[in-house]
Amino acid sequence: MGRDVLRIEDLVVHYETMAGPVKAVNHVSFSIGEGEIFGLAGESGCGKTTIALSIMKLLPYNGKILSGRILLGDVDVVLLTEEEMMEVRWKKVSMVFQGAMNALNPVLRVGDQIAEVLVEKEGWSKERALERAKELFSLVGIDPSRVYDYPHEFSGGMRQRAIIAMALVLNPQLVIADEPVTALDVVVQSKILDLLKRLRDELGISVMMITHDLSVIAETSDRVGIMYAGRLVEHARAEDLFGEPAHPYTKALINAFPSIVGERKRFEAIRGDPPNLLNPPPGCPFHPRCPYAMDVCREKVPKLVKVGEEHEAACFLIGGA
Amino acid sequence: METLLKVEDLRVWFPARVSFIESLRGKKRYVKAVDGVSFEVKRGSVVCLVGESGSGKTTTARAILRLVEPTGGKVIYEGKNILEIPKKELRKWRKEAQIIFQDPYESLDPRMTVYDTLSEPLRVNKLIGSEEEERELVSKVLEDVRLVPPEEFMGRFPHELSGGQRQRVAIARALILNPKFIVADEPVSMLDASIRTQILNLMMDLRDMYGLTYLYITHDLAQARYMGSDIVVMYLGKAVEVGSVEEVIREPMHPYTKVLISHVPVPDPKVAATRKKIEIKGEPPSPIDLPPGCRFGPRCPFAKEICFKEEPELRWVNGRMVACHLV
Repeated sequence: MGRDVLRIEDLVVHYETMAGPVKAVNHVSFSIGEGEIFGLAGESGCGKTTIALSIMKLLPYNGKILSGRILLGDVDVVLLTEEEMMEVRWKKVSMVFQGAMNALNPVLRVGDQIAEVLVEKEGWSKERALERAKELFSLVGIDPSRVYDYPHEFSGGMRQRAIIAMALVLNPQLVIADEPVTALDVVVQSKILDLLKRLRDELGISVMMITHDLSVIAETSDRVGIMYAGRLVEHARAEDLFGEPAHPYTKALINAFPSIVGERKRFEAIRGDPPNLLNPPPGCPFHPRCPYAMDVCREKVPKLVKVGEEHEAACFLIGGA
Repeated sequence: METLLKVEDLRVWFPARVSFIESLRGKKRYVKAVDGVSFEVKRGSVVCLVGESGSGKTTTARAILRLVEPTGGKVIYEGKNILEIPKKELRKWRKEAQIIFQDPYESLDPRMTVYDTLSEPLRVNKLIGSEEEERELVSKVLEDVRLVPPEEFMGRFPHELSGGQRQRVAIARALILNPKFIVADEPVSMLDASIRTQILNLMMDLRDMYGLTYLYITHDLAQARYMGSDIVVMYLGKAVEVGSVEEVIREPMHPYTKVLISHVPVPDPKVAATRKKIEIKGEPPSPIDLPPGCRFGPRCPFAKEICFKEEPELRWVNGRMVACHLV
């Protein structure tokens, strides 16, 4: 892997609500290398989308980055003004939002919606922008002549391809894909994942893949970060994370995904529900559900400690007390 | 094991819109959501209906419960054809057969407490003599779905419950009338990963406790393998392969099943890297105006001439049923 395209250092993000601050992201650090697919996995409410919105600086009005740095190359986007961010979004980093394929404007031709970015942001002529849209269509595997179609003429898989084409329009180094295959059927899903891998190989872009589905991660990612209750609890190369998971939550999460290969057996479920981030439990956020919890887990928050090469986990069972 | 339920040539057609001119000519068109599905459910088994969206799996299940009226076919339950029961006698069938819906955020009435949700079926069916008896039954079913202590949950409204707890209430509601047969329509697809296993394991435990038989609908083959004894793979309103889950997943015979299984993501990067995907063109066509011959023909990587002329029948091949000219 080359140099880091994205480096997040000690990021803290809260949402202000009537009931008090929701501690959505707590002291999270990780980096994504050039040409790397990084999977960020966790359940709903664990903070994975909040991290993506922080990178894009698109947090809702009540979301605040309290501390930490988000480095895109050498630039810390936390410090940028909204005007300066206009030069970063689309050009350095772009995002495929969850469900975006269903948010295409139904009364505009798909090609025009892609060309619009170039016309508005770069001042290209409409003709030249449409040519670029055609180029992008063939890159993502849609017949270029279909830039003149309306969204309803596209199948779900094609709409998602068009959204990915849109994300690539200004050659960003990093594409954030938030649950890019969640509502799609199995075969379409697998084709979209193959597309993202091919784009990485052909264009050398980095991808941050946000998903709740570990099998999607296993199919695509080079490295993986596992989040729980606003914290990064483990990160490693994909084969190490699945082969030798260190954190009890990671182990339990892997067990929550039955497979069509391997032994067929009953898994032990994790008890209880994820915590409320308005009022998270003291100590390790996973301790109320952890079968191995010790006294120290209820008092102190474990730090990430090295488990292997490029492999860290935050759990007192491993060390770091 | 004896057969509890037998579905024969079940058809559910919905009328589709035709143009005014066509209607003058008396032309009719149908969305053939379910078009000749047959399978058997053995007592105590879990039969999984698997397929992509639009394959007709939910409609099949709803037709069996008569939540939609089938166009034709038979559903034989303990020797009786359910589709011939007059509407006013359906209540007895509804007691025997229950359904668990996909979304526990929508399937529970937000203005009813857990106690009301669970006691309503008892009252409607006039099954209880006294209030104590009712409370006892509600309490027992809550304990069975592990919402303990039951007193703590009885007074709560759905918004005071987590997603997993809501689905437990929905399961309890299905159980309270002591049914024998339960349709579960993607019961965990709205739930988070760590909660899913809890619910799947609970459903398996309840099957043993209550002696239940499940018809389990899912798009996820891995889940079907975790839960099921038998599998019915559906494509565009037809069952294309029916057999034991393990055998079908290990050695699929129908080209569609082969394609589907080759694309299922595997939660293990080492295995994922070595698996070969079978390439396939396009997406399923519209269930109106279906192509002649095999419905999978236009997309099938192995299709021969006959596949575009004759529709293959579901027939027995080595202990399972397959609808394909090539096997």
